[in-house]
Amino acid sequence: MNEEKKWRSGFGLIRSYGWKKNLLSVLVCFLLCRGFAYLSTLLSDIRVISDFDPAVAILPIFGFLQGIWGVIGCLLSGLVSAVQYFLIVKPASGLPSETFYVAMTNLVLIVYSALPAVLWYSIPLRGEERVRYPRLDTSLHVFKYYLIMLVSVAVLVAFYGIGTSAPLNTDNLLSWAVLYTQYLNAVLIVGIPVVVVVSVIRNRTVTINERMVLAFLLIGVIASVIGAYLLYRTSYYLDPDLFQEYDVIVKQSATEWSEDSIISLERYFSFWNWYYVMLAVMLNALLLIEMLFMRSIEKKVTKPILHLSDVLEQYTAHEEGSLDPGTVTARCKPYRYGYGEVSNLTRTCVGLVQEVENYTENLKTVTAEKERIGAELDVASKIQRDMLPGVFPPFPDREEIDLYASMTPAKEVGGDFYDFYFIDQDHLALTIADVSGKGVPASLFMVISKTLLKNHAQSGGSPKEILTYVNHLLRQNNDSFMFCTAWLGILELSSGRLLAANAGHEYPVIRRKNGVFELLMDEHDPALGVLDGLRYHEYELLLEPGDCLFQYTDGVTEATDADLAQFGEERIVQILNENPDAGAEEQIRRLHDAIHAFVKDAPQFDDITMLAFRYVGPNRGAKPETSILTVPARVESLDEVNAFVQEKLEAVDCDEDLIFSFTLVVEEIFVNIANYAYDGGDGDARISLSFDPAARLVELVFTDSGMPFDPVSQPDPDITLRPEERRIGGLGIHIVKQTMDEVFYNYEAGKNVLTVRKHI
Amino acid sequence: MTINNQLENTTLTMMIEGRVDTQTAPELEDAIKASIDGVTELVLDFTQVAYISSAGLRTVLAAQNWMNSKNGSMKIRGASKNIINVFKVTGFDTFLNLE
Repeated sequence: MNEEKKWRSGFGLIRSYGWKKNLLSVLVCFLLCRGFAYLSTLLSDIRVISDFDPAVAILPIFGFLQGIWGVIGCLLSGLVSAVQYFLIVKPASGLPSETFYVAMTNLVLIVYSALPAVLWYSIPLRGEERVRYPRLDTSLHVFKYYLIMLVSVAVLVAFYGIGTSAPLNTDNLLSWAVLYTQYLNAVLIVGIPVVVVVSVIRNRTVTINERMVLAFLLIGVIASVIGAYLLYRTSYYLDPDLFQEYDVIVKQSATEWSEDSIISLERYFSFWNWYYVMLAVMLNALLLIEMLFMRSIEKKVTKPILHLSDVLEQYTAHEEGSLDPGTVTARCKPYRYGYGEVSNLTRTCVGLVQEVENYTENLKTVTAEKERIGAELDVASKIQRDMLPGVFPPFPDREEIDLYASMTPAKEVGGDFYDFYFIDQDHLALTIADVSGKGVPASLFMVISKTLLKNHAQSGGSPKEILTYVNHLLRQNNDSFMFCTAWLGILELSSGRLLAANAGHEYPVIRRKNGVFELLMDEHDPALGVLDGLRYHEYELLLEPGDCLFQYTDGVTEATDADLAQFGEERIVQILNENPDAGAEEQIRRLHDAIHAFVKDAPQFDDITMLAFRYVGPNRGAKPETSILTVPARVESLDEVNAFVQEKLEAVDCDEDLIFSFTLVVEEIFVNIANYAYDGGDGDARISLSFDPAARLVELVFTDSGMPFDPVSQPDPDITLRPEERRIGGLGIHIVKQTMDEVFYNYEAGKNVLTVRKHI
Repeated sequence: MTINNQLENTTLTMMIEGRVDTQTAPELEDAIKASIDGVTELVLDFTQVAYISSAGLRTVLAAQNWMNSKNGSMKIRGASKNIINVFKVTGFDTFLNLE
């Protein structure tokens, strides 16, 4: 804040850089001043004909660049000169003591070295918030420097005039002009490069204006030197006497000069005076041209480019408030129209911004789309996983089997699947399959294959028929040539008879009669969906209780470790045999562990699917459940009988149609007993209902102690008769016989026993 | 079992709801007998009948015979799958007019 104030109030002049730097500035300026003063004495011969004095140029530059510290350095140098004068020059030359003159000289020196900096910092350019360290980076800064130097040199010359007490008049106008232009030339030719070099050192960059001002300056100097030489040669040629006379005159001592000599000298100096004025004019003209040229370049090129760069910087800024493309276009509008390079650049940039905007918009859409697809794939993957039976044990009430399966997908959605389901109460279908390829196409084909296999298996047929038909269906409209290897087995649980067909799938592993697990080299047919019209083959195995079957996909055998070795069938067989009596779930878990230990950190390339099955044996142990109801043999008991039968049947998952049939049968038989068994007298009827879960068989036994009567042996009514010929009786038992699988009658120990059976 | 009669000219529609079994069949038989005087077409609406046993079949047979003897006609409307099955098992489908 404090520093800001100093800058603003134009006191960059007395800015502190830290005492070490300040001291260094003073020292450097002092030494340079001394150096230039010494150079001036060396150049004193030249200065006879020219007042070009680098020391004059360097004084304001030090103040200009280093502020108060430069001024102090210059002052110190001046004081040294004064001491020199008083102690050495004056006693030796015997010149009169001019204390006032020396004091004045140093005062002028202070003013002259400080003035440019004071002016620079006090006069901000239009649009400049604060005056920065002197730089000639723009044409206006060059112009400012130029004006300041015009004024500073004028002040110096004015002091000079006061010091020499030679007021300006028409007679000495030329010599005043020469004096002025010589000093001005010095602050330009020496000053500008110094300012530029210091600026480049400080900023580490060179602006185009700095290069241009140096180039024009160089051209001016070179032109001056060449011009001077040419003018000198020409003048020498035109008036050689002038120069020869001068050569003679300067060798004489002043006391020997005649009147003519002085006139010659005046003529001679007058020539050089005009020459220097001309050169100064030329130099200044070149500088002015440079400024105008650069001003034009700045207006047409630099400023638009800076503006454009500023706009683009704001556009790309990540913070809030970065420009929107509309604002960018609006801000670039002043430079967009025209045929120049800058207009082209602006149009390209605006186009670029719009392209970026379109691209970003597009990217957003694409990203959103990708996310949507990703989310949908997740859902699809879940649907697919859910399609595989995943609840284990799958059939808790079926003690004949021990079954477990697992699928570990490699990608989000894969093409492997396993399946198992009961075709009927006695037939279990087992499937394992692997669809070619991976990802979405494989999973779609997997869904089709799985659905077709299950549908056709459930509508009956042997494995070879199912595979033959499914192959035919999969071959149709299969232009992408997807195919599916599959192994399908259908096991008859009551007998252990397994019918299986293999459509290009891996060899199953089997364990027979408590032996060891080994590969079953079964008969192979091509994979499903490869060739139309193919007839598949099947083979039969008779499983003994305790026999095991293990199926897998190539994701298991081809699981690869970091050294590209494969897991292989031998390892599967080996792992299974390590603990051959382990349950299905245990075996699969052990194989998973073994695969994991084998591949270690290598990525999983394919789905890993396994299915383990153990045939425990036909269900002979499960006892049928029997319920008994005894009621008075009267029609009024019918509701109670019906409720009893209905309750028991519902408990064993009997469907409504079957319950209707049983209700009908029970009513026909019970009403018969109620009406006829005891011939109007009282008696009981006993109804026993048994359910054999293994065979899904319902058995109803009706027992009464009435008159022996065998309804089964009664002739069936002729159901082709016309209604008027129909007899009333016989319909009931006919319905019973038609509805039940088995109906038989016994007369045992004085009781009628009527048994009906039906598989549900 | 509930029975609702709807008489339109000489067409009687009997809407039966419930079970037609040994216990309810006589009730239906009485209801039919009581209302078929002057009826030329009898419609037994079985839409709401859940069950029929051989006793119910006998009633249906009786009704069919009554209508036949009067040169009338009889229809069974809206019988469920299970009931039609019973008609088939007993050969009743050969003479009943099932709608």
